Amino acid sequence: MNAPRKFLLFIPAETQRSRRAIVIAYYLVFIAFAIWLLWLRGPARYARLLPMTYFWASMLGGLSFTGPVRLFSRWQRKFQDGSAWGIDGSRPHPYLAGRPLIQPIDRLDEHDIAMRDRAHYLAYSTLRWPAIAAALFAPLILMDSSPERVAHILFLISVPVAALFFSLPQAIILWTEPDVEPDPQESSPQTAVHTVS
Amino acid sequence: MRRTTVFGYNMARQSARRRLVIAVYAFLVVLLVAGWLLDHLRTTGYYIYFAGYLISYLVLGGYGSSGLIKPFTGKPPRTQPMPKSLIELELRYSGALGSPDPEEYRNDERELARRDRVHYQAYQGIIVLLAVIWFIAMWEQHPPRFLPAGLLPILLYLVVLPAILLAITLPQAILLWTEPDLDSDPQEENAPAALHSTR
Repeated sequence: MNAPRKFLLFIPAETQRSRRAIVIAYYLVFIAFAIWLLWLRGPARYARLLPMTYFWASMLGGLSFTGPVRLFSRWQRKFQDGSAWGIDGSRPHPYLAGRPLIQPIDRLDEHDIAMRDRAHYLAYSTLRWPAIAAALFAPLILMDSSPERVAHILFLISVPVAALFFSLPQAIILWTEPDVEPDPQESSPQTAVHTVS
Repeated sequence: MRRTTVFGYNMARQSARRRLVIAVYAFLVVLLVAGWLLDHLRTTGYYIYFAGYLISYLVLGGYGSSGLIKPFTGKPPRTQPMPKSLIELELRYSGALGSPDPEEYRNDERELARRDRVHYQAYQGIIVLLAVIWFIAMWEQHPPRFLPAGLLPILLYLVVLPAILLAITLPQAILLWTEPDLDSDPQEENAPAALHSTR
């Protein structure tokens, strides 16, 4: 994953240490924000957090091209010509001419695809356990509840579930990706030049 | 895939596996409709969830030692599967049969790549369902005029239950649907011919 290595457009994510720090900070800030909304602003404001889970997760990349993880799939954006939402990247709409909104991005290589698929498998198999636990213990809580109460509890749970579902593959990629060793071929010519000079 | 039969039916052909996937989802839909007619899925919803889990575990496999698909983890089961005959049971008690062969459950590179890919594809499908749940949950907090307010909790429940059932079964279903016909082992095919030729 060699393409944009920035979080929130300016925080560098070049080393594994910084990437792991980003993952921890991301979840801590999200949890704090959700608790603040729920307790201080009420359920109506908490409801607004649900669509925000997607946009929060897209800050990590994967779902969008502005994040440390490269874009996962081509349905969000075509890889070959860099176009987006039907606007050709090489020949943008006259309205967008001169604006660097659309930049062609590299096609995912085999390693990127394998890493993406593996992260999704790990995320899926991890999220199965809360689903199984919820189904096992839900009858104890919800059996005698009214449909309104069931819907309310489902809604409260849906925010953390959506947040985890959207962000976990990116978090796994950021957490597990090792530091890239500098290419010895790139460094050796410089030393050769130094030794000759 | 580890096994090629389900309830005695041969699943080596892709068409047979596709019929099985259709049958599984048709069965779950029938259960959902029956549950809705019985008690609006209030109690039966949980039983349908367990039915989906049992189908995933016993028929489809992947997340257990049973079923058509090898365990995704590649690990053999801790406990031995049920013996198929009394002779096997007796051999097991006498110690003649050992523990399950780990090689039988180990996934090769192609199987691991397929496993990861189908989970990625299933993830995309579940995201679409999650978006539907979004809208309904948002509507529940701010009910629109064109929908009766009492309908939204029921609608939310009606989407969440199939979403959980799909989340349990979708990767295995995609794998069974897309896996090509299994070729029979050429050594097995050649063996009778070799026997005939020696005679």
